[in-house]
Amino acid sequence: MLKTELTLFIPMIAKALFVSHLGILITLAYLHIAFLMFVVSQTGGLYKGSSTYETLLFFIIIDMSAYFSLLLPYSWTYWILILPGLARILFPLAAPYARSLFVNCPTEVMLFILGTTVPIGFMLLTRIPVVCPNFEFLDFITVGSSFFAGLLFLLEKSRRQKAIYLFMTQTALCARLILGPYAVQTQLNGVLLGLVALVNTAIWLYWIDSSKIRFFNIAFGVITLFLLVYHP
Amino acid sequence: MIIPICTLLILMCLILSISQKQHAYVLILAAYPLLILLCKTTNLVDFTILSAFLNMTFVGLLYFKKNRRLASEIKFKILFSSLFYFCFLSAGIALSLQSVGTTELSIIAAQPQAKLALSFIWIAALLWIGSVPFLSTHVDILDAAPSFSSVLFLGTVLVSGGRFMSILAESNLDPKLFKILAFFAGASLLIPPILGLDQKRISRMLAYLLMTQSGLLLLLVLFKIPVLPVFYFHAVIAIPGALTGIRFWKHRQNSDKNWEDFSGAGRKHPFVSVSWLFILSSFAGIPPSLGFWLYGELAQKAVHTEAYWVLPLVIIAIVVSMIPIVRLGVFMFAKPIRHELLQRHQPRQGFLIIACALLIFSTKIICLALPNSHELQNFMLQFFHLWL
Repeated sequence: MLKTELTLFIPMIAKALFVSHLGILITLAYLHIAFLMFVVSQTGGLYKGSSTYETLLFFIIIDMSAYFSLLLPYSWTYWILILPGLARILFPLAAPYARSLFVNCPTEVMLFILGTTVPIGFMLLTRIPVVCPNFEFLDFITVGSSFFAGLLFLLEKSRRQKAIYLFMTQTALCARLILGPYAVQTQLNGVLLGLVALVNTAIWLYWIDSSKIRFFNIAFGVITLFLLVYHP
Repeated sequence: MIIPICTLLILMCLILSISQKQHAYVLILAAYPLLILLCKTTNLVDFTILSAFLNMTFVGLLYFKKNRRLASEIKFKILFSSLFYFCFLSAGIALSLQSVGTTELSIIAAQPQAKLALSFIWIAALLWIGSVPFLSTHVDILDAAPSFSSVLFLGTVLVSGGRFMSILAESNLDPKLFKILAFFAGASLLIPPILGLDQKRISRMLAYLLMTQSGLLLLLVLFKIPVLPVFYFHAVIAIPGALTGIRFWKHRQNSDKNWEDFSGAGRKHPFVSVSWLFILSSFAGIPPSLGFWLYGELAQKAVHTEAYWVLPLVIIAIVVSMIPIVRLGVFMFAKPIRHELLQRHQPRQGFLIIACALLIFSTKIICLALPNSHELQNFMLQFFHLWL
């Protein structure tokens, strides 16, 4: 079944890479999430049905709000426009769905969700046509969220959730680099480091029982965090 | 010439329909020319007469309902609302004859001294499409009437009501009247899906969902967006698809299906289920449906005229309408298949649902391929006239 979904969605993701209009990209991203939820709802019984219901509604709210906010001429719409991107890269404050969706989710499906959703999230963030109206506030929420996700990482007992929280500490800082007042090269570095963090998380999730690989993952995660804070 | 023939046909069918079911289809065919005439008329008196005949058709169709007691209640509701409707229209005709001296809708709408007459005519128009002050009657009729009767009822009132209202809105509306009508439009867009959230019966939830179309229609008319033919097309294709979806699964004789009755229905019939959910999502206005395109056109025109309040209205309407649809989807795909679903279903109705979904999707593609609104309007008008 996963193969069928991959066959259907690889062209869509490839298409999204070349779309420059944010409205079209949001629409494609929404379709992607709707299809993902369709897949997830059939994998884990009633409990998974309930979490997909909540997740899909959450994405309908933020995607539709962002789509129609594109038409408004106000500067505060920036904070609505970035929400679909932030939610997809698992930014801690914008991804309340992550915990319930990933609990008891088959590893293949989880990797499929992360592997397709996060790149789309980065694409959405890089295509925001408006400049951030308040960089200090952006700094505050990104650094604060990263710190918050770090705390959750330390407190969490489940290894799968730990991987997700470590990833969240990194993506919050990636969002800071992408959306902040930095050069294009720095923004690209932010995206690349985010993708590296994604691969690191995928390795953790795939070899979840190996303590050696987990040690490597944590070490690599700390290096990525260091690079994100003291960006070259 | 056509009107007397149609009248005779309807009366004949009404007499015959008491004993023979197939005459329902003859009755629908006879009502069809009436709908064409109703869409073309610009005269208030003609509109009154033709809409009276159509109401008679609805009442006639209710003779085919198995539950006679329920059908009698619906007949009573239709007759009662028709009485109100004709009272308002009669007042509008009398006042316009007194102040303007004509019953031509376009002339009355352009005359500043015909404010009172226009108010009565607008109230009649709101009643006709089932806008929010008159919502409950329409929902009751849709919920309980047999599906072919419901299709004809809602499709007819939306198509003819849209035409009726667009003639009224063609000249510049009084700003006060515009505000009142915009309030009714917003309420019609929001209140039905909010009421639909609490429904346990799927048919009732669907009836509320369909009634949001009256709000969308009113907003399209008020902002003079040239996509009304597309709206009509969407209504006449999506309403049969949506209502047939309830009838497709025959595992219960009683039509009052609840959420549990659809458990696992998607796993058993994935194509029909996805098509049905797509049609419902089109009413709610989610991409990639035609409904989303209509909402997009509305939002663009509203921003162009600096009516920014339309945007949150549209977002809330989409989200609230989608809540029961997503829930239905979860019931259909996440729950195990009920054993009753393994046997009974209706293949012909399944074909109709899939065909309706494909038509909506292909129309959306055409709309995207023809971005120029004049070009699109001409294309859809020609298509619509051809189809009618």
